[in-house]
Amino acid sequence: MTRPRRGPRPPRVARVLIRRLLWSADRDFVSDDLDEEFEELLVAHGPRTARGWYRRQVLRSIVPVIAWRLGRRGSRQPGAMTQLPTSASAKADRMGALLRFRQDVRQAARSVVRDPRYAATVIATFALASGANIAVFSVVNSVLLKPLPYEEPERLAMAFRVTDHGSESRVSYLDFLDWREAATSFDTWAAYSESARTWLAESGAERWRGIETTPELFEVLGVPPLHGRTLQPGSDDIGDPVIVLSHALWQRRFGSDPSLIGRTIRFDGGTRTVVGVMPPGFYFPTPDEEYWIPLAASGRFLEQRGAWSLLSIGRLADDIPMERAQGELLAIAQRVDEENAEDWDGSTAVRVERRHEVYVGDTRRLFGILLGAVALVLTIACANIANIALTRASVRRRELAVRAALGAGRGRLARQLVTEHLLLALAGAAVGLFLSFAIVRGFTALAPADLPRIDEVGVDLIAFAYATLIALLSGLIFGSAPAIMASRTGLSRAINDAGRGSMSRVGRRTLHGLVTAQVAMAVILVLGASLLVNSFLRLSSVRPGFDTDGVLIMGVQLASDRYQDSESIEAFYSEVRRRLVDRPGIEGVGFSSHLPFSGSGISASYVVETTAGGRVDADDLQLEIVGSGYFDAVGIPMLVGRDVHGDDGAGSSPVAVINQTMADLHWPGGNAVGARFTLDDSGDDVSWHTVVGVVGSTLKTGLDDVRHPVAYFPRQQFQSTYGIISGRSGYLVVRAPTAPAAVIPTVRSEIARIDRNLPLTDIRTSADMVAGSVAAPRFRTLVVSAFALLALLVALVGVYGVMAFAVARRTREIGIRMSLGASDRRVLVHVLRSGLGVVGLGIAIGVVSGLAASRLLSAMLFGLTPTDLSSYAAAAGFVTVAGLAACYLPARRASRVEPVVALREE
Amino acid sequence: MPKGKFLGEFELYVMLAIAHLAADAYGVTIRRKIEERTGRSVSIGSVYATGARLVEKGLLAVSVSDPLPVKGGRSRKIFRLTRAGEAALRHSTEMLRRMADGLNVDDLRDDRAERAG
Repeated sequence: MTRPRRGPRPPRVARVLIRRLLWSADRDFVSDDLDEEFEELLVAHGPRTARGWYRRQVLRSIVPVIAWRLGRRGSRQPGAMTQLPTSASAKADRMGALLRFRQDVRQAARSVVRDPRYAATVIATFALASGANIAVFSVVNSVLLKPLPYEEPERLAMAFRVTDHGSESRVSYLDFLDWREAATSFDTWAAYSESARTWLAESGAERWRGIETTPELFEVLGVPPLHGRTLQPGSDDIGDPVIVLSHALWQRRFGSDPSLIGRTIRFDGGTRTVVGVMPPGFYFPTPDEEYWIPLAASGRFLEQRGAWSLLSIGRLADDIPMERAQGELLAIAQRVDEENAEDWDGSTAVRVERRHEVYVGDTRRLFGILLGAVALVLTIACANIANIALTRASVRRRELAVRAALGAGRGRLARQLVTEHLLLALAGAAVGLFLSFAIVRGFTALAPADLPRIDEVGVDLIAFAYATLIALLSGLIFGSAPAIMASRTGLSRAINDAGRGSMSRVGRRTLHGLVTAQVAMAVILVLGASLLVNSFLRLSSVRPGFDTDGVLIMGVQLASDRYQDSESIEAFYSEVRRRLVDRPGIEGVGFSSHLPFSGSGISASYVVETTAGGRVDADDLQLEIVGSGYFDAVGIPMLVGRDVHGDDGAGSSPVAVINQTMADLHWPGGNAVGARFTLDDSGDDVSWHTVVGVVGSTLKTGLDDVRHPVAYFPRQQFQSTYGIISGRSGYLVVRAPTAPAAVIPTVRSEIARIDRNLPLTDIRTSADMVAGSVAAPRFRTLVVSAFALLALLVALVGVYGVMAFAVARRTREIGIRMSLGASDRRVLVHVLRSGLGVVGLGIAIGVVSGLAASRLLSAMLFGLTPTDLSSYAAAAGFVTVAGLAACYLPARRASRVEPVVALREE
Repeated sequence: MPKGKFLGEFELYVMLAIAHLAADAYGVTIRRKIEERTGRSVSIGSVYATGARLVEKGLLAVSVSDPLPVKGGRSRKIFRLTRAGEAALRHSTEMLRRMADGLNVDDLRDDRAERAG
């Protein structure tokens, strides 16, 4: 092979291009010819001319060389241009296949571009359906499938006690220590509980959320710090004034200053040393918790075996299956309980569960339903596309048959049709990918705030791969329908078929079958949406037992150094009430340790004195500590008796206000005022609380909760009776019926005047609180309804398309009928009836399938069963009307057919 | 080549060029010959592609020359007319002659020549 030895060389890109296009046998001949002339031109006319000539030659040679290639494919006989050695024949085969594929793609692209309306319809339909699918898949992937950001996260497990009702409960510190010592299935194990403390900067106070934990936590999670160190077992004991910060907090409040490590900050009335900062992306237990401190020393909870206040998380030892850990823990827990409880009834139950499951497990059902819904939408869209592909292929039937007869080969034609649809599907998926970004954004905006890992949701490479996958699969599926039909076409029959795009009976039946299937699937979705909407409406109409309007709520956290005793706490609340109660717009002020709908609370077992004088044991009593005026402020009606008031102080006999549920439970029909109960079942020297009032019952966790017995205790008395400091953290409730949000500045300024360093947190109205509690049901109702509407729309487009095609196909027949005397009304009815037949069958199948499928929703329905008649009727009715509308237009067009024109059509 | 079939225009040019060039007909020379005589630019790719087609039709034969006796010398693909090719060429030119016989071709307007000239 000669190469230009000196001076300028031929343009490199062009040279590489032409050599690439050629194959080994002829590459050098052609290239050398070009080089030869290049050299001559170089000498004769200079480099510019030579290079220009070279480029033009290559450019003009591209098409002939490709044609040459294609020609070569067919001929490998002697006398051909070059004799291919046998080892190269396999390569030539591959090249041939590649060439054929390239040709198919080009042909498909040409055919698609020739019919832009068809292409646009297919791409748009597929883009919508695939966009929704990619979005839901991205969410599911981010929340459910991606592993948690810890070392070997599948080995992290949490251990719970299980109450008699079967619900999971926490563990006590002493139990935890005993369990940990005895257990061999866990390598390391930590226990923690939530905390929310105040940080003090020059500019004011801010409230942070975090957890207090045993120091092994970071060993359990296995994530090293970004700066400094994490809590260490052995050196960071209970109560030690150290703190580890999250990356976000460090960035936000300390400007990412690395010298913060080792410095102290003013925290919760004292100081703490910042010993470390965690890396970005790390969180535990949720991204809302931003600091980690050793377990607090205060409170008797650490010493009380019966105070179940801690959550525990541990790392399972290598190769220990969950069942083994569970079995071992149960045995240990039973032994510990037996040793320590005076009257152990043998009912110890524990549960060990993977951290991942605990954190995101609740979303599984919701996502399963969403995935099912979008899959249905996609299937409907594919059926639609298959339908219009079929109708289009039948229109082109004659052309295709002729091509087949001229040697294109049926297999080749089919392959081309499939390639065409693959191209369309890929284009649709590309658009769908764009759409999915927007859909995901809408998703995260609408989603309830407590949906776990919601901020990790995004469309990523995996979603891109998923998009490609569904594009290829779908394109294959809906492309194969016309392909199969095309490959079956007999030439003479195709040409002889009269009328525009007539179709075989099999083809027609496929068409109708697809439409029926589409309608059925849409009905299933509409049914699901109908059930969910119905359920949501019922849920929203539940009365929670307090005023959902006109109440302002905020969280209060008093610093432990400034408010060390009962008197100072009491003074604070009195002062707040004094300052606020007469302000314009404010009608009442109150305090409570817990709120309805907050979900959290202290529960205890108790003993009541019945009217007959006997003693009855019970458990699961919710305890709340209140100040006087709370019930009025929050709108809980006082039914009998009186509120707690200032006289119920440290010295006077213990009283309590109970709710209606508790009153009905233990003193039904009679008057609960004056009855007694106690929390302490230890025997003799117990404090009996006398009931002084009965209030209406409220819901604890949400509108779908049941009502539990609740006892409300006056703050000072509770503290002096049980020695538990109460009232430092709780909620301030302000009644402002006209405009609760408007009094926020007033409240803030007055409280600031009392205590400048007191932050108010979680400020919201009771309306907000209720709305927040229905956020999850509202979300899933909205999303499923959106998918149902989308599915119905696509299905209706399919119905319309098939009807329109049928009418167009039978125009001649209609013309004949009309010329024979059929009125246009009769034609209208006739067409409508045939259309409705298909739709009706679809609805019937959909309703029956829906009966089975709706059982999946039963956990999400409130106040109705999955077979609720009104929901089914509404869904069926809605789809029937919609189907009628879709059939009407083509039917009307049929009735407008002019017989003369129709008969003339060939 | 069966009677009654005609050569394409470019195929004709290629064969005529080869006829002119006798033993020296390879890519470069064929291309140049057509370009010189017709005044239209010809790509090397079309020469080879047409040559391949003609070989397939049995009108041309191809052989590979020995490498030139210089350092790094290349070998060339040499085209020549087969017996059938010569016959086809004769046939085609004869047909043309018969069709053009009697016409004063010079009187016909030749737009291409005018543009090229």
